[in-house]
Amino acid sequence: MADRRRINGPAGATIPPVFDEDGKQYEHKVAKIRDRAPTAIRKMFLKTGVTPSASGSAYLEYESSAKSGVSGLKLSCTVHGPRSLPRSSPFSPHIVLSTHVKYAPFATKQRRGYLRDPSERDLGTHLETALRGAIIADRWPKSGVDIIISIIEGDQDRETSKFQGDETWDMMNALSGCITVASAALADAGIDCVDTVAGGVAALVQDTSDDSTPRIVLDPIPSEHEKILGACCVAYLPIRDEVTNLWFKGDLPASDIDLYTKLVESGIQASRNGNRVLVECLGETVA
Amino acid sequence: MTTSAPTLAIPGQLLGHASKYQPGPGTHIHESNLYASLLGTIHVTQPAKAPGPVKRLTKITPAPAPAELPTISVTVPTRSAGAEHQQKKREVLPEVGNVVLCRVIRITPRQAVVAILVCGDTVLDAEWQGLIRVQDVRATEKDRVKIYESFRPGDIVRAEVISLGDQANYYLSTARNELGVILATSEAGNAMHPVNWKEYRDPETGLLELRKVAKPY
Amino acid sequence: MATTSSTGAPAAAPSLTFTRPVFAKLSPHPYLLLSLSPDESSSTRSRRTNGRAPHEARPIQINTGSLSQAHGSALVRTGDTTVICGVRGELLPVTSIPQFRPTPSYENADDEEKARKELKEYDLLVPNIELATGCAPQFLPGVPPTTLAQTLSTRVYSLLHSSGLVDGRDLRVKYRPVRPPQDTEAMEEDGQEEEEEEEEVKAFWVLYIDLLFVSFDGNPFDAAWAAVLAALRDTVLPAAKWDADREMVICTTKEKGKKLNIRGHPVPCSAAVFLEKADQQHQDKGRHWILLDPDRLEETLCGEVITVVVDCEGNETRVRSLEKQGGTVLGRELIRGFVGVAEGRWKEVVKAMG
Repeated sequence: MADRRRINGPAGATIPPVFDEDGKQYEHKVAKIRDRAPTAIRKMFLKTGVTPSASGSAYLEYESSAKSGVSGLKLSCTVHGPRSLPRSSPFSPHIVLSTHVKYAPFATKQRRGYLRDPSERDLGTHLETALRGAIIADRWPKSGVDIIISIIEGDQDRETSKFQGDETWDMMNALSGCITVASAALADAGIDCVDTVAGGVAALVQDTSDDSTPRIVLDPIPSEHEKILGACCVAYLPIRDEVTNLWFKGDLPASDIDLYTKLVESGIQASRNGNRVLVECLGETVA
Repeated sequence: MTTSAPTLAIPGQLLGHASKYQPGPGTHIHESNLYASLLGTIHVTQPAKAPGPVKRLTKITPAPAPAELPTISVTVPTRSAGAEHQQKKREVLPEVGNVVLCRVIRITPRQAVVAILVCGDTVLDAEWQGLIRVQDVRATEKDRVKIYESFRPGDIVRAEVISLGDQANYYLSTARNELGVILATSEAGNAMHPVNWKEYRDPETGLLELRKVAKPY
Repeated sequence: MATTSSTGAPAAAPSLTFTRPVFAKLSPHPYLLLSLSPDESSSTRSRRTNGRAPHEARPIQINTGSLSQAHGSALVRTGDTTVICGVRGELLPVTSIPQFRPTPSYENADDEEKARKELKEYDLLVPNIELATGCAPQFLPGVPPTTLAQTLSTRVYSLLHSSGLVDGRDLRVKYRPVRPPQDTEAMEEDGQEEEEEEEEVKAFWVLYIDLLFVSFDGNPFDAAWAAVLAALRDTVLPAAKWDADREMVICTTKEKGKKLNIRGHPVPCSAAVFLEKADQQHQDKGRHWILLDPDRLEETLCGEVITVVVDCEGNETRVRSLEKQGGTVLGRELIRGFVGVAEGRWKEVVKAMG
């Protein structure tokens, strides 16, 4: 059963450390405060060319939250290609995209295994759709390109284990980062794109402090809010004004269609903000 | 004449209306406007000079623009700063008519399988596979060509791309004087020198080996 | 034709000249050879294609503690090789160890030796190296770990154990039971001992040491080990104690965590041997060069590789490990000389580690 090509450690199961503060009284100590304006996204650091031997590469880091123990997302992306397709694959008149997203074992609260799990595959699929709309695929017949993203550190709060179910929200932020970093790496690799695609996340949250009314925030950090009702991740081409991928999750009242469009619009707004960082970074790459 | 405006372009950046320029490499047309599709510097080439290599645009361009328009293109700058071995160039695809340098991987009586290493003067990152079929080795006496008398695995060959070929291979030809083997190693492991159009000599053992020799310039 | 344009490089192939990148791609071996053996007449010294002198290593840069999810972490950069190491502790209750034998006393003199055996026997150190991150064109994901990745993991694993870097005593979670009064007559055998109950080990920390290559340009082992060493020195395990009522280990953030006690500074130094003659039969004649800290191109051209692990703590050089693969050039004399080179590298790496 165990993969003999890796070092697996002891046969018995190991348990991640359990903290005594996990009890109820600790939860109240955690200040769930968002110190940014609802429309502000976190600062981002984006740099191309971190892996010189790849055709293109980029590194993206989100500013970590003021609260200690909350990490900012750290992503590294490499692009290999255009390269020849494997001999077994059929003729393709355009470029064949393959995306691969993997969390590092030390990226999240729970140690990740080396095999891709379904959520990582899911991220890869979403990323592929987001990028496919941006790439001019028929410039490169008979070729393939590999886009590989390593999530070096996820967007998680180490201290709280209360949010066990919030991984889906973390995935939204991860996807948004993946799209932006892959876009930079593709531009670095010199693969024709119609526009620079960037990701953006918006969420409908409910906070304890201002009870009752849910509000929409950009670039949410799950641990900063009491409850997330719904969120969407948008991949958006600002010049074309096109959405290449939309991922929506949550539980919104079906009656309020306005709320839904507002959420998507906020996601686009977040993506525009992300795009500004992307364009600035690309400008530095050529200069 | 090339008026090099050292302005930067980012994919998606508007370059001008399609009635003002012809699209060159690194650009695309959307709703009769020209946009950049690559990250790089913008170059405008006047049509007085022979139109630049307008490559692979046939599928994008709706109709050939009038010939007198200047061509606008976006080229990826080489990161030549520092060590030259790290020179970064944008990957290119071999195209019909390109002269490529390749290494012979294996030979069969019908064809030589090669890996394309250099296309034009661009070193390729990826290895593209090519085929030199027996009928494409030389222009004359095609029926008497033997692959093993023309190429050996390990040889470096200069060849021309004649077809995009099948899903895996580009078809190459050496049927010109200046095409053929340019670097060869003898069975004793020494670099050899060409002596005539069909033979290489090992300088240490003095033995001759048969090749389709490229005419030195 | 484009190939005839020379850029003034001394790249003279028979009958034609190439630009340097073309020459490097077509015939890498002569390309490196030419660079290492410049003409007698010219004043240029022997240089590698990456611009370094044969015995020149790339500068090393080490950052620690940049990851917050791991208990210890390090980022190591040497030239274009970048590796990230994250150390994470997880708990292994002794009940999950089938072959567990409680050792009665932990205060004995040979305790250290016992702890070392525990490390190995219960497999408490788990290093793994991931190369399939696209860190170089030949390492793409979607395939099982390459032979190189497996070899590197195993080499790190064996050096971790042979160097005794981690003190096994740091990884024990102990518990001193409070003896309930009715149990006193049940323990008649060791009645001559003191009243106090022996401390017993209830669980062990298992250290998962995961390495991720972000960028790969040769000499992975030296970079990986430097990252392991720096990350382990950075590791702080949370304070943990056995909760007898809940029968589990409970950690606390109220007390300060425990920094690992890392013994020594073993630093590896690798070099590759480049031969004048490329092919197998003629290797013995001709010149050779020892290239310290080889890059990706050099590694593909060299068959013989040596790694010496030295620790120069306290002005005394100890060779902790010596590995050599392939080739016949390096004899006793050369290896002895190479230890001197390794000492120099040791100083650089330890300085970078701060």
